[in-house]
Amino acid sequence: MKRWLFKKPDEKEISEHVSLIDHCKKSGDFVYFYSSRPQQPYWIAYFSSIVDEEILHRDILPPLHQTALTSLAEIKAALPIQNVQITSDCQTIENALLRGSVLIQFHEKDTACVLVRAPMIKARDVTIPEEEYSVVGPKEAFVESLTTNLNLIRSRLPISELQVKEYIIGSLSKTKVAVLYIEGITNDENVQTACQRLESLDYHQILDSSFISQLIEDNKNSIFPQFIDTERPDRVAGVLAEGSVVIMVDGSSHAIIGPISIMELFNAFEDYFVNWQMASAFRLIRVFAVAFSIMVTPVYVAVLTYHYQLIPKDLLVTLVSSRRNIPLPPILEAVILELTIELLREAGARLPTKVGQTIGIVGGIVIGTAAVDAGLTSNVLLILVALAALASFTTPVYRMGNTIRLLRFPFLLMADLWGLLGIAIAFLFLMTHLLKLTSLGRPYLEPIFPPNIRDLKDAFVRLPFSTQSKRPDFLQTKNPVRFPVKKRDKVKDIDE
Amino acid sequence: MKKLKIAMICFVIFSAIFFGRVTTQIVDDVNMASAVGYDYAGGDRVKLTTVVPVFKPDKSVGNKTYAASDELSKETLRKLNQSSSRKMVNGKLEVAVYSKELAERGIGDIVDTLERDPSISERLLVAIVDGDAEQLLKEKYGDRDTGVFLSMLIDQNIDSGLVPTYNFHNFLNNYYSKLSDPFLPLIQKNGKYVQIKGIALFKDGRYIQNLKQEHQFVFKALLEKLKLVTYKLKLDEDAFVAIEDINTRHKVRVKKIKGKPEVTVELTVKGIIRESKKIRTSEAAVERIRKGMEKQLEDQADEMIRTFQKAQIDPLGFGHEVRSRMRGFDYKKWLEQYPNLKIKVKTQVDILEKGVIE
Amino acid sequence: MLSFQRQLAKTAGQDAWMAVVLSGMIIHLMIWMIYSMLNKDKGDLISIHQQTFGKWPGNLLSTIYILFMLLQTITVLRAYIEIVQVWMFPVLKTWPLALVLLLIVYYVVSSGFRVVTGVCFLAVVVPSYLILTFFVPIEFSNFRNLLPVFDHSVTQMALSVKTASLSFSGFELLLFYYPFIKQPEKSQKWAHLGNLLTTLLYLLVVVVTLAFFDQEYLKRVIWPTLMMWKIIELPFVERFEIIGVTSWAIVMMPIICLMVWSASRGIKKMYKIKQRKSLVFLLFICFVICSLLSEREIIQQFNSWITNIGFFIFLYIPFLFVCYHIRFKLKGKGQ
Repeated sequence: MKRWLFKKPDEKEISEHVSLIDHCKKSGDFVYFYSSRPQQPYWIAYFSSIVDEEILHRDILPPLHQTALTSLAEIKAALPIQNVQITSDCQTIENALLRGSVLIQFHEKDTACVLVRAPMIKARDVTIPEEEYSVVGPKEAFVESLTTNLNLIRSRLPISELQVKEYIIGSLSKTKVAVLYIEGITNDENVQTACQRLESLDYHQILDSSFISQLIEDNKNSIFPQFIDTERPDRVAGVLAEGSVVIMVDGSSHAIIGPISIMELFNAFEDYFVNWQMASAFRLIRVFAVAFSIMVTPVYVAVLTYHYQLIPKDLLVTLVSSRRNIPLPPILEAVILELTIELLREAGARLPTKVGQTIGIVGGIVIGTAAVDAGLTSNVLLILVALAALASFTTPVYRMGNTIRLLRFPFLLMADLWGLLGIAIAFLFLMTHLLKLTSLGRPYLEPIFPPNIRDLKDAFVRLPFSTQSKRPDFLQTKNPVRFPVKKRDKVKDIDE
Repeated sequence: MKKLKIAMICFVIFSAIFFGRVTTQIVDDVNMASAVGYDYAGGDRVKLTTVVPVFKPDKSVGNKTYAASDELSKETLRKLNQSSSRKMVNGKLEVAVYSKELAERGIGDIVDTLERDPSISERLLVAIVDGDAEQLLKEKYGDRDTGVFLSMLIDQNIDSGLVPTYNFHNFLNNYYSKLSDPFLPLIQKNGKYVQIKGIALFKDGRYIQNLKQEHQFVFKALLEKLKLVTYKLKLDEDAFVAIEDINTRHKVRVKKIKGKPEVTVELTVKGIIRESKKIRTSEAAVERIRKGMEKQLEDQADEMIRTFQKAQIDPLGFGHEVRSRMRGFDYKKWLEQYPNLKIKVKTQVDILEKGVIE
Repeated sequence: MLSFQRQLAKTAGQDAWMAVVLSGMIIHLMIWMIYSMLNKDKGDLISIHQQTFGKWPGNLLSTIYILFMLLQTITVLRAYIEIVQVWMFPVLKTWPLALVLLLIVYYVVSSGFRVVTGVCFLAVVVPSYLILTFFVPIEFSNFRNLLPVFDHSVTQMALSVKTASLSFSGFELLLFYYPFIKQPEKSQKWAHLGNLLTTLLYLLVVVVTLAFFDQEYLKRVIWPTLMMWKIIELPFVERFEIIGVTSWAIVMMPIICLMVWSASRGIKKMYKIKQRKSLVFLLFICFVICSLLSEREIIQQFNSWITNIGFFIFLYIPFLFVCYHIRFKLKGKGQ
């Protein structure tokens, strides 16, 4: 450090330094001023928009004024702030300034300076989860600050094995990305895959964790989410303990979880808070609802366009008379109605909450009734489409709901082309696609194929905790045992 | 390479959509025939009548008939199409009726079209109409169209009446079998109503005679398990008893005596006395009713089987029973033996209850 | 599977079910033979052929075998399209449907063996509800039709065993995918179990068919299974055969995928042609021949032709078994 004081800085370094300051000065929120104190004058520079003025005025300026500080080291010692560094590296200075540090130097032409961290942290308070709200269970949700989010997780997993690997990604955004895993549980291969993909990532701006999940997905052309994003710290803590890898991004209130299998898209975390019979029943309902939501309109189109024989004679009256006055073929009828529902959904999502709700109700009731009255759609189809839309909302993972919305249309087209056979062909494509998919290199369709009895205990149903003494097999954890299995007590006889 | 792949996929989708199109049969753009009737139209020609339900937007159903005649049934369908505003399809056919006149000339060739068409249900009900099929189908009877009405009528009589369970599949099984002969329910239009008159018996695909009305009970009992039907027992000149909620079971035994098979059918009947006229239901009387019923059933069965043997028909499928119990069964020999075969029916009647009064 | 009962009943009548049991046992024996060869060789059919007959004759035999497999694929595909044309869409042209189905095959096979096995697994699990449908026709069946048992001569039985065993074909593909199984030696019991299940399934189907149809009637019916589905009526759906035909698209997929995969894999091993390239070529041949087979009678001719060759495979496996083991013994002595 002394060296810097006595060493004459070379011209090049000085010019670099000056040009940096000049460059920053162009920005209106850059503050650069000279304090002409008799003892020791100094220069101070910072971006006013990201520096906490309170820290500046309370902690940094008073020590500088009160005592005569002659060296940078003395300043560092005098300041009651931890993150103080002395450097002459232009790159470091620039980064630090842009992250909310205050630069202090004695002379304008000096290259060495003190950088004091005084960033203004504007973060929301921890609030109630909105997307994954659950009646029972904890009510905390992630916020946009990585530090707060890590705090929420660490407080749930106070163990030293919880590792956080940090990366800075994005040539413009310089976003901090953290990879979380528990050493000794999580499979190294999974961690390595995630880390490698992050390291090789080359993108200019990471605004949200969804950027990361889109950029490191195994198959970028798939409409199926290959990671789950969650806003619940309890869910993250839960999956970390199972052996998953979690990626968190600064500035994003969602963590992404991988590897996942398709069944996890039907699992609400709430399932673990209610007893297993309820949870299993709800999960089955969800699986059924998704199948229904995808299939019902295509089947309607297929049957009404080609396979009238399939309709039982009593149902025939209802179906045919409801369609008697409708000028459109079933496919157009269905597409128009599906698009109307999508329209309502998009409109509702883009509008402020209260207006959105009204639009949803008004649109749903008015347009639906009017369409039937006008003879544009049959009331049977209206019920089916509304039910399908309702069913698609049962998926606990929001992105899966979007997938289902989209998935219906290829099925519809195939149903119009070849009826039920078309649906079967579309199903074969879907099946192959799902078989081909992987999430962080692990098979996506796991408990179904490759078939795995152990993982089926927590897939379509959730069996009681006592039966789940082992971690999911598809995560290939290093330590598969969750908890030791207790020996069953001897069954008491009736009269005991 | 990738571009080529995308081009190939686009080509497949394109060709599937443009060359793979199939004709649609949109449910409200077709006329779904619900019943078809065949009449003899002289010479080689057959008159075909189809019933088409007209579904109205207020959920009521009307009835419309189309008729045409030709040698080929499918050709008639084309002729029907000429007068129909919507395409005629027969995937929802519920009932096919043949006039007695036509049935006497043989219905084998006409059945072919129904059998060959993959869109026709195996549960199709086939019946013979005593009279004109067109006249029968023209009338609207219930709140549904005639086709559905007739199928409901026959179905109801199969479930709780004396018509044996008999759909198109059973008919074809019997029709093609060398060992048994088909039969069909016989219906008749009676003014504003339709009623099941009895059972029409066939030989080689030709209608020959009716089953006597009083034999229907035994006939069905020997074919399948009867459930919840009523039987009228005549004890004396004017003493009658109604037995209800009858459950029956039958068992066929075949003995081979001197190379000739002998068939014994054991019929068990369980029932409840529901109504009695001019007879008390004391313990002794019940015993009398039991014995009387056994005798009456046996007499009816014997008489019925004798008529079958005389006419050389086997609607009850005794041939199958014998074949399944004999190795190296010879069809020709059996057909020779059949008219003189010993077929005995033994009945066992149990009266379970007699109501709430003596 | 949709029509094999008819051929069986033509020769063995009510004893057709015994032919199924017998051929199931024969297949067990064959699976054992295949495993005993493969466990020694640790390779596949191509290396066994090369070991036994030398490089060039062996490769020639393998090529013939692959060609035959291709023809079998075409039969399966064309037979299915014919069913669709007869039962659902009479005016549907053959080639667009063949094109779309082969696109699925390309998608599956080009995604690798993992996906092929996945399709094999799911295509069994997903349509397994069809098994339940075979219990419905029992209501209209007469099990007396099955009696008397053992009422046919040995030649009749042998003939029907021949027909029955052909519907089991597919197990011999083991000769190709054996090296891809994780612990191949341990898989033998699964192969036998699978064969047992297939036998039981066929047995169920044959027994129900025989009871459902009168024999004279059965001889007239081309697709007895579909006829049986026709009788099914549920409260929300009638005419199950359409659902059956639809589901069959899923059922027949794995056999085609597996055969095409095996063929392309064999070609790669022998001629060092990339599997992706040979796959396109094979599918193209399938497509062309499939589209050219247009009439029922020609398809029938083609089918019986393939079945007759297919029978040679059943004779060929024991022959290969004997040859291979003799060769193995001789080599052992030579060293």
